[in-house]
Parts: sequence; C-alpha cells; structure tokens
Amino acid sequence: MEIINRFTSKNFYPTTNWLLRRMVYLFLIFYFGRLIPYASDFFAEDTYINKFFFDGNISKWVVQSFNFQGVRSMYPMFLIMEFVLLILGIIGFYPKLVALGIYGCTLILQQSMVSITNGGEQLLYNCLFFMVFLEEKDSKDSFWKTISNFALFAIRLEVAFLYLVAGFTKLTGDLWPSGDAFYYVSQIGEYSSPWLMEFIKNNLWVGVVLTYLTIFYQTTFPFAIWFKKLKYKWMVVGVVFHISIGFLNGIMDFGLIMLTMYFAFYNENRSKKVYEFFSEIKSAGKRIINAKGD
Amino acid sequence: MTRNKVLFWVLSVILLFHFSMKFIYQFTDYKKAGKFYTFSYNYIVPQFHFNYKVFAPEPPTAREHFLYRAILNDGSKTNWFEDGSGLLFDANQNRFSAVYKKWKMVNYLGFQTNKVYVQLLKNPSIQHLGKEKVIEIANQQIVHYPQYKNACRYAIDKLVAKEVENFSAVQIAYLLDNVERPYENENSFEAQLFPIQKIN
Repeated sequence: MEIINRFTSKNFYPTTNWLLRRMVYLFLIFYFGRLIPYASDFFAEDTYINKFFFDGNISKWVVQSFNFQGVRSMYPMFLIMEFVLLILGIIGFYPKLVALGIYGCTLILQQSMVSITNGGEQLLYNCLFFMVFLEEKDSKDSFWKTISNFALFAIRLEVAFLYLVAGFTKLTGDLWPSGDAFYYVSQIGEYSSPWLMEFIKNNLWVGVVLTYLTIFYQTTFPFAIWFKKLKYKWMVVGVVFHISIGFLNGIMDFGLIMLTMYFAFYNENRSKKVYEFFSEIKSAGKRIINAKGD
Repeated sequence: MTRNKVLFWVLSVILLFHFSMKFIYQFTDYKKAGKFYTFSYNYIVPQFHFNYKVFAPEPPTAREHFLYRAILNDGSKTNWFEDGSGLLFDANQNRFSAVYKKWKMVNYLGFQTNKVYVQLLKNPSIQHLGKEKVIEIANQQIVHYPQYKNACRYAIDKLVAKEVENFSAVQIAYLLDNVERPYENENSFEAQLFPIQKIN
C-alpha cells in the first residue's frame, strides 16, 4: 500500500528525467549527424538493404511507412525533421509532444536499416518510447507523476533486461563458458584492431580473463543495479567496459548508447549536480555573449 | 486515491505484459512455440523489435568477406573484388565515424544471400533428389530472392564505378575465413559461390 502511495504521489526523479532526455537527444544528434555523409546508402530509395514487406500488421504499415514507394526519396526531409525535433527537445519545448515526435521519426528512419542495427541501437529505440512519458517537473497532477515513474522504471528494466539476456545466453554456449570467446572476437577484423589481434594471440590468458569478466559483469548487472551500494560501482566498471569495447572492438555506438542509458539510474542529487553544471555552462555562455569589448 | 490505485495497477499490468512479451520473443523457440510466439512477435515487431543476445550464445568465429567479379563479353572473368577490408581499415582510423556501419551494410549483402542460399540447400523436400540436383534447384530459386538481387545490384554498381568495361554478367561470393583455434595456426576457409547474374 505504501509503495502505491509513493509511486502515485511524487515524481521521484524529475531532474533525472530531464537529464536522461538531454543526453539521449545529444547522442542522437551525434548518431544521425555522422550518418549524413552516407545517408543515401542507408535511407535512399535505391539502398541495398532489404526493404521489409508489409504483411497485414497495421503497426507495420505505420512504422514501415518509410518503405512505401516514393517516401524514401524524401529522406532528407525526415532527417531535417529529426534534427529540428532533437534541438527542440534539448531546449525543452513541449517535452512530451516533442519526445513523441522524436520517437516516431527515429523509429521510421531506423526501419530502413533495422537489419544492420545492434542491440544498443535497439535498446535506444525501445527506451525512446518510454521517454515520451517522462515528466520533467514535480507537477501536481498525480496522473502524469505515476506514468512518469513507471516510464523511468521501464527504461531501467529495459537496460537491465539487455544485460540479463546478453549475460545469461552466453552461459548456454560453448565458447563463453570455456573462456575462448574473447580470443575469437579479437581475431576478427571487424571487432578488433591489428595490435589487439596480436596481443591476445600471444597472451591467451588475457582473453580468458576478459571472457569471464564479461560474463560476470553482464550477469550481475541486472541485479547489482538495484542496490544503492553497488549501483555506482557497477556503473563505473560499465564505463570502463563499454569504452574499452568501443575502442578495442570497434562497436563504438553500442558502448556510447549503454553509457547514455546509465543516466536513467542516476538519483536526484547526482542528476542535480549535472544539471547545475549545465546551468553554469549556459550562464557562462550568456555572459560571454553579453560581454562588451573595451 | 482510488483513481491512483487503479492507475497503479493498470500500469503494473501493462509493464508486466510488455516485458513478458519481450521475454517470450527473445527466448522462445518460434518453431516449437507456435501461436504463443506469433502473438508476442506481432506485439514486438516492428515497433519494439530487439535482439539483445550480444555475441551470444556463441561469438563470431569467422572473418566474413563479400566478393564479386565481372564476366566479360568474351567469357573471361575479372579478379575478385572485395570492399569490406578497405572500409574496415577506414573504420579503424576513426572509431566514431559511420564507416563501420557502411562496412556492415556491404557485408550484410553477402551474409543474407548466403543465409537464404543455405536454407534452400537444406530444403528437406528436395534432399532425396541428390546433391547435384539440390544445388541446381537452389541456384534456380536464389535468383528470385531480394537478398541476391540487392547483392548483384551492388556488384554491378561498384564494377561500373571501378570502370570495368564490356561485362555482361556478375558473380557474387561469400567467403568465411575461419579463425584458427587457440594454439593452432591453421586457417580454414569456406566459400559459397552464387550463380552468375546476367545483365539485361
């Protein structure tokens, strides 16, 4: 009964919600920005990626509308709309409405390259849906407070679910439990670099240690993250883990997305510190703009 | 207060339903689950599509290469071309660039075509006809698949860009360069040649 009262009477994390939205939007600006030079390869009508077929599922007709004849030729318009919405989202213009627009626009754009997306990108798209419902103020309306609390909880569950799946399915294979998995990954150019290939080949034990550390981290994260004492320790390990994956294994966007999603686990105090940091940058910027030269 | 209670329980049920669907979608064997899986599939795809099995249950164990070559008017064949290695080299120079994504797209052309082709070769209803006939049927069928058509279209576009002249057909291939096992130095290769595609 107590938990129902708490969930419905207070917006637990308004600043965390504010911060999470901004960090995700900033990431999306980076994400789509770096795709611009290759935009025609991914989004245009004559892309080589298979277009999905409509099979009577109504939501598919809406979400995959990008694949209708002629729509893809308007991809620059969708990209411009995405950037405009992201900037509006960062400014804080009608947060929920703009978040809905960002979710829709991102979902439609990513349908064109869904077959080459990784788990991190898919996690991001899923979380964008829940982010629509986040409330950035502690309003009096208990309806939105409750929905917002559930939405943030759902985002946290989604992140934990990724680690749960990634961690425990590794235990069902042969190469992960035997400790050889990292060796194999390191020997493949697309997930490695020349020096890492050589290093792991000559130091097989490092590969074994990294394999077991990966399994340990991924299987414990979904549980550790709910405990105050462990949460930030696991997140710090995660930062090292994902940045290493980004630079060593080349899957940079996966690592950056996971780090961005960690902001969902920040408590209010920590989020407020980051918020104040951004506010100081903003006011410093204003001072520079308003300063008059001698 | 009653309104809040109702809202709390409604949202709890929605959340439970959502993650149950995700759990079923991710972990259920669709061949065995039947309608159960279909229901979760229709709920998840496309708006909540995901696959969180990052390198699981097994990591990749082979270097993949998508190759293509031209068949010239006189019947001779050019050398094989491969774009993936160059793209990977560029991607390694700047980990933040989207070149890696482009590599993935090129590689995906070979991967997907190979996936369909292997399924055609394993079609249980034609296995009794013998190996040669199975390959013949698979070759006849693969040319109708969009995966194969896209891969050939890519090959033609790239050959034109490379200024290869007087070619009347293209051939694509998918090469798997298996990673040598720990403490061993012997590589093994698996190559899949796909039927020649004539250009209209």
